[in-house]
Amino acid sequence: MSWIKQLFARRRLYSGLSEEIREHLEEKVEELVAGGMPRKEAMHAARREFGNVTLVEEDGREVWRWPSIEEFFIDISFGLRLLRKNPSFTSVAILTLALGIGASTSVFSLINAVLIRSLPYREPERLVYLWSPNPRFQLPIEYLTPMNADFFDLQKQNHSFAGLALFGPARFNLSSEGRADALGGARVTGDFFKTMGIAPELGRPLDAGDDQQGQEQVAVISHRLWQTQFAAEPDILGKTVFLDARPYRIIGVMPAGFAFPHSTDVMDAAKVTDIWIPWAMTPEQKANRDDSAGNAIGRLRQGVSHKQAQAEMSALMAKIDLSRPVKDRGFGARVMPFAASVTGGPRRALLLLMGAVSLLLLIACTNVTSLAMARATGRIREMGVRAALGARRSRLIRQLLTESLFLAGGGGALGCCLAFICIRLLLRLDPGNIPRLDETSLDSRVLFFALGVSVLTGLLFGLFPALSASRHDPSEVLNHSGSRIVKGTQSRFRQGLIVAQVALTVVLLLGSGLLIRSLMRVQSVDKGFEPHSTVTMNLSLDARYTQPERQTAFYRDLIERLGTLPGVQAAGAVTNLPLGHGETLSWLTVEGYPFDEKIFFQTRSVTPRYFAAMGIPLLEGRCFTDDDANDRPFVAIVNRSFVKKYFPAQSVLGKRFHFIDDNSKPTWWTIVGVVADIRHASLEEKPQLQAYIPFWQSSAAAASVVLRTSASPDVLAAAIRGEVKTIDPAVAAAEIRTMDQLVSETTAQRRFLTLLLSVFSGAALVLSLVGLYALLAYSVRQRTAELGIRMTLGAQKRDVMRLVVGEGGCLAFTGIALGLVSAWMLARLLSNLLFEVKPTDPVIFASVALVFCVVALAACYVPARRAMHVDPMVALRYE
Amino acid sequence: MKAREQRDLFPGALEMMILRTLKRQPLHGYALAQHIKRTSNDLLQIEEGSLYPALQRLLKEELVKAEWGISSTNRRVRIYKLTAKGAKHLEHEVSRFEKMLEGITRVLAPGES
Repeated sequence: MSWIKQLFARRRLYSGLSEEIREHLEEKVEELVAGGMPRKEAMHAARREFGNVTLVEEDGREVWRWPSIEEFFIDISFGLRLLRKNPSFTSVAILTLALGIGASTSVFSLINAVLIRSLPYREPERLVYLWSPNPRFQLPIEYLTPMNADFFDLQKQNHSFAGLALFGPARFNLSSEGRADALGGARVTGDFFKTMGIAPELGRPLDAGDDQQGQEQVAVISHRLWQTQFAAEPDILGKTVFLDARPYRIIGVMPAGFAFPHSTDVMDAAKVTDIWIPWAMTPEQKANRDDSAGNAIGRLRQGVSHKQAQAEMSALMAKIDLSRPVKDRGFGARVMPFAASVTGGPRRALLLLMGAVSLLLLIACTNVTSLAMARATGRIREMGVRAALGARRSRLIRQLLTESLFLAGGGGALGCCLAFICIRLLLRLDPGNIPRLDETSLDSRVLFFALGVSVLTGLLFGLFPALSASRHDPSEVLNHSGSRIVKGTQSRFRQGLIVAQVALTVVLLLGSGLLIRSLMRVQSVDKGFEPHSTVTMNLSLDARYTQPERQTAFYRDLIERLGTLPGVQAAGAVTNLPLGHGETLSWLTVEGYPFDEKIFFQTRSVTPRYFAAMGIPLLEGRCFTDDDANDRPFVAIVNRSFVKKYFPAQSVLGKRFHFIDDNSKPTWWTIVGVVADIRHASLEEKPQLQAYIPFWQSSAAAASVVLRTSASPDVLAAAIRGEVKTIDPAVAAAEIRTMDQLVSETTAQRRFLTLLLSVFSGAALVLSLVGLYALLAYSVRQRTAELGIRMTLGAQKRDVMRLVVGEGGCLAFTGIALGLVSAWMLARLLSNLLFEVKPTDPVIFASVALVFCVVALAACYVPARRAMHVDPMVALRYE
Repeated sequence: MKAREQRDLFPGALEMMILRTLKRQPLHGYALAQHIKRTSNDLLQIEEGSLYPALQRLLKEELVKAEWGISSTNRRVRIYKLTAKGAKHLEHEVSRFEKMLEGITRVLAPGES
């Protein structure tokens, strides 16, 4: 191919061209000299006739190459040389960009993992949750799962779903070889695995044949359980395991990563699910229209939209609802996209973080723009010379843009390294309740994002300096000394950048200030209990313990034994721990008040020493005693809110209530005591109406035990397990931890968000101070001569100081004011994430403004000092 | 640069003249420039330098070829020669130019319109 030949022959061609031109000029000169012209004049004439030699050479060469690509490489090598010659500018710019790009890449990688990357199920967009809301109860939609009979009717009648299944998260005691372990598991109906669309890696999944009565003693286990409990034995299939003391045959092993339902998706599930067993309901259970046993998940048929499914479900439910007694009606159906439910909660927080990090990136960009403009000012002479030698303006702009892109590329590469480290750190901070956060990594999408951001920032901060540096008329530049002609628009533009930067930083600082204050409020909120010095555990008794007497016997024995462990001051049991994500909501009829189905009571069965163990103060009356047993009058303890609502003026002691279930011949519970309000569901939710009844009078199979002790859970765990094993070797204590840990878990997401936002705004603060400082330092250097003149004319050091600090202060104040105003307008965006703090909290606004003023003045001080110490004589000779 | 340069030639005119000149005899750059200037009676204001990029273009299109040789004034010069392809191209260009010129002449001619 001739172009290949040309490529290799090019160097020869180029030097040939130069030689040819030289010969041409010489020939001309000879001729003119021969015609009688003096040699010097002849040389000028020859040049004049010829035109611009360099230009001709360049044009001649350009014929042979692919101009844009090659110029790009030339620009790069030239840019590189320049950047190397100016290491302080280069390193500050690259570091600043790396900070911005690294931070935004890290946050994007979180978002990528949590919100963008598709769920690990086949066609996850077709998966939906099915809820059965009822406007009669003012409850969140996710509280109401379909009633059993309703579900099975829907399953039979619908045309929208390719699969519709029920699942119920559960805890099991897995016993093998004399030891028991507590596991997260789920009962699932036969369609479950078909609906999820995941095939096991070994054996077969549960299917429609398994959830029949008598067929249900089979189980599918997780990859993790197979690895840890069964040492990855290849012949695991067909092995028998004991779950809650009943034998199950293992028929399948799910692939690694499948652990649905996760705790974050539905309430009260263990963190991961390790075992799935069929849910073989009795015909009576299946026909029950008053009880909802599990969560419903469905897979839409190909081509069926959420809307269509919703319409069909609503229509079907409207018919089904009629088969209920009139007073019980009102249940509907709600189809909710699975992905949105999984990621719905943290979405807002993550998007907020992305917003914050974009601001940070913008600040980094303005900083580098400002630096680059200062540098471009110093290069006006260079640009003037190049333009005079025949460089086109577009060529100069391209050269400058290449340099900025190169800087951005360096910043991007370093930023990716930074992001790599940041992600490691972020995973350490994982609050544990953001689904799939732990899968965060630098994948190709994230790297592509980083590349895009780098190019964009390169163009963004490169364009202004390039345009302004190449705008000047070469002859003007060459006639002046260069540095004096740059005032005016350009420095005003830089000042504008600093103001914008300060404003953005103030917005960020305000956001994190508000979140920090919220976090402090949350952490100091009155929980109602004392989380320090506690150890808690969860237990779940199996089918051998269905009788209440056996349940009370077990827990009585356990609490007695645990109460005598060294260092334990009190031991008690409760059906649901505060902040433990489990809640029993009941309808109560309070004596003297009509029944109201819109009011729910958080009810718990507790043993006598529970309040002491949990550190809940008794405000009135008495605690339960061991005598409050089944054969004695039923008694109850209520919380302060209960009293405030129902008996604000009179003594509550001796008043009674009964549960809704037995309206005909009510069993009355007599109130004997009042305790403090407890934040049960979360620290951020106001305490509800709460009622406690004695565990010995209303026991349960699953309960949590609380010990008040200064010993750590690690020390006690072995003793606790030992005692449990002594009572029943097939039962295991799960999740032995402190209430402090539970409290910390509930605030983890908020702490995560607050910490990240604070780090970002701290970084922004540093960047904008660097920007402010750099601008002032530059301006002092530019004005050295002026300052010298002022001082010779009698200006005092104080005046000079005032001049410089005044310039910086003016910029900072304008920026602060602008930031406060924009934050005030943006505040609404944040209000959902705040806790007991107004988005326009005056304390935060005032302190951010104050802090920024102080540090901004500090940033002004150094250049101002330098200006003060300018020696007039040196200054006047400066240029 | 092309945009900036004040040239009273239409695009391709210089190339055509070079090809036409080289058709008569192979020449080196300087001689070529002088010949064009002389034959046009200095009516065309060509910067001598602009000849070279044009020559490079023609070389690249393989319409001319070049060889180093010694000129009559005993200089090492590159002598350009028309190729067969160049001759054909010239013919084509000239006929195109003549048609164009004819058109222009008709429009500019005084008389009935």
